[in-house]
Amino acid sequence: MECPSIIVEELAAGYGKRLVVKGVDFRVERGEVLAVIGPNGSGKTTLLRVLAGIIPIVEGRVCICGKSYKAGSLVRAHSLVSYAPATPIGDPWARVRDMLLAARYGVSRSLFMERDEDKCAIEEAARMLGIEELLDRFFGELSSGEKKLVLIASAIARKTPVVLLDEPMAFLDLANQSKVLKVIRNLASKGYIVVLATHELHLVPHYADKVLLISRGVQVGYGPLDKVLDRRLLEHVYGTRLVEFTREDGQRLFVPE
Amino acid sequence: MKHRKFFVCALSGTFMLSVLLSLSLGSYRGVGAEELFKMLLGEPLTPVECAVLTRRSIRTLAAAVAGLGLGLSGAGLQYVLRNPLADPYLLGLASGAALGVLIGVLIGRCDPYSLFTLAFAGALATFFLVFALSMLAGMSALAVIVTGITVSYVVSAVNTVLVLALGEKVYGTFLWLFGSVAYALKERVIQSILLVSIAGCWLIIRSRAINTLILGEEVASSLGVNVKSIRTEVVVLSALATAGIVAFAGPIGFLGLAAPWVARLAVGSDFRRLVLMTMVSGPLISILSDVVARVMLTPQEVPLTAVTSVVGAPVLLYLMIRRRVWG
Repeated sequence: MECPSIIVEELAAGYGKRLVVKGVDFRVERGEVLAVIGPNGSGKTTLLRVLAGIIPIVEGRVCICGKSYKAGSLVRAHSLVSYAPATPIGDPWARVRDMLLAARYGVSRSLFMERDEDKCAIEEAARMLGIEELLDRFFGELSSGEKKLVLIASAIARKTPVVLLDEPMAFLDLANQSKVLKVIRNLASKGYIVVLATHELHLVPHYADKVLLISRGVQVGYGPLDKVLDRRLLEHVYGTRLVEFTREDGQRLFVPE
Repeated sequence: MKHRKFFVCALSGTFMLSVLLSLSLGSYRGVGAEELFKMLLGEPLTPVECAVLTRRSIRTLAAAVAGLGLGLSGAGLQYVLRNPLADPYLLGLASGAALGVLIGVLIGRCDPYSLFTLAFAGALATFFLVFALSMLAGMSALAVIVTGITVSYVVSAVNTVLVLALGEKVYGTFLWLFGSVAYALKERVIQSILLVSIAGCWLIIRSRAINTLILGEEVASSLGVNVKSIRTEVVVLSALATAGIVAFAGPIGFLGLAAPWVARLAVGSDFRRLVLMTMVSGPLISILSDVVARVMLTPQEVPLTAVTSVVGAPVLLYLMIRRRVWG
């Protein structure tokens, strides 16, 4: 299944009467990675939850893979979109293999139990993230980082053209961060659309094609990396002083002072 | 995979055995395995033997239906409430249903239909009370169970007073209050089979969606599963099945906790396999418990909950201890 683009126009969403995200506009094409950045509580997760079809659009329009979803409706593109939440929650008594198979809901072609092609898909995803050895372990006995990898693998095992990752680097050690980086780049090179929320600004240049900066639910920057990753703008939005480095290839990196 | 097949075969084999055991044991010693085989071979039986075997069959069927319904309810509730300790008894569904039945008897509405409706209403009302109170207590798995047990205790206390107030008016009520299939009426059991079958079929149809909940609610909804609606469905179906069972067997404890966990040990956490396996483990545990309940102090009957607690309590303790270790 191919997906040419995600187009978001004037999007507003929230919980009850409280709007957490207002006036967000962006467009991601096939094979692109969009990094959504912004301080804690700025609405990154809410934005991903709208795209994942968990909470409805309150205002504006979302167009995913050629289908348009209006205000008041859920983005019912569940068979085209996969989502890995920030906090790794799952049934502690479930084996990892069963969890990955469960994630094939809605994309598996079988009626009741998964078939061989589903098993191949989950083994491939496990291999990409290097968690083959965890497949027969209980979810509850894994470390937070391992749990995080399992949830990312369960999103990738669905093989949907759109992958949404909420803070994919959280809980991960350096080796695993680099593994996930490679996976994200790999997905983009295969033509997937990846939208992710992150706090690791120094990693953004490694994988992202575009950046969306939101602050208190409002979009304050959107576009190519060098336009949005500006020290003044970031210092203003995050409300803290930053130190700027320039990498050999000219890419700028930011760390807190 | 290998041990899974072994467990499935072992459980199914034990289930067959438990049925034969249940038909050949009882307070009337004159009918045993020998007479049972005579019947199975089609040889003529004396009227007494025939009556005893019929009674035992109804009893076995009643135990099986109770185990099936409570086991399935427990399995469903554990997944949709995302609480490994959920059980219709511990959540107050069973004592609420019993209160409904007792109110029915007190106001003289003893026809099966009114009794069942009252039991269903009682089960749902207690469940919502437990749910509202556990929200105040923070909604953690343990908070829900502690609230459930607390509410159950209060409702059971009211039930005990009501039974004492009824006095000797209704034969066997006191035994019924602690769970027993000894005096199960055939009509009630059949009515219950219908309800339990509906609940079972629905759970099987929805099992693939329910199974996604092992990934957490957030991911399940992103897969396109309507978590709220599935939760309501399972709670209502569990209340229906529990009400039907309580109407003939009283509140039986721990079956809804133990049966799904025995099944889980055999086939793992995939809900589709688990539901099918619970259909064996539930009746198995309840039939064996009923056999113990009738032979332990023959000719006296022991309440079923007294036996099922011995099976269920260690499961509960084990789960809590493991949970603490994992954090």
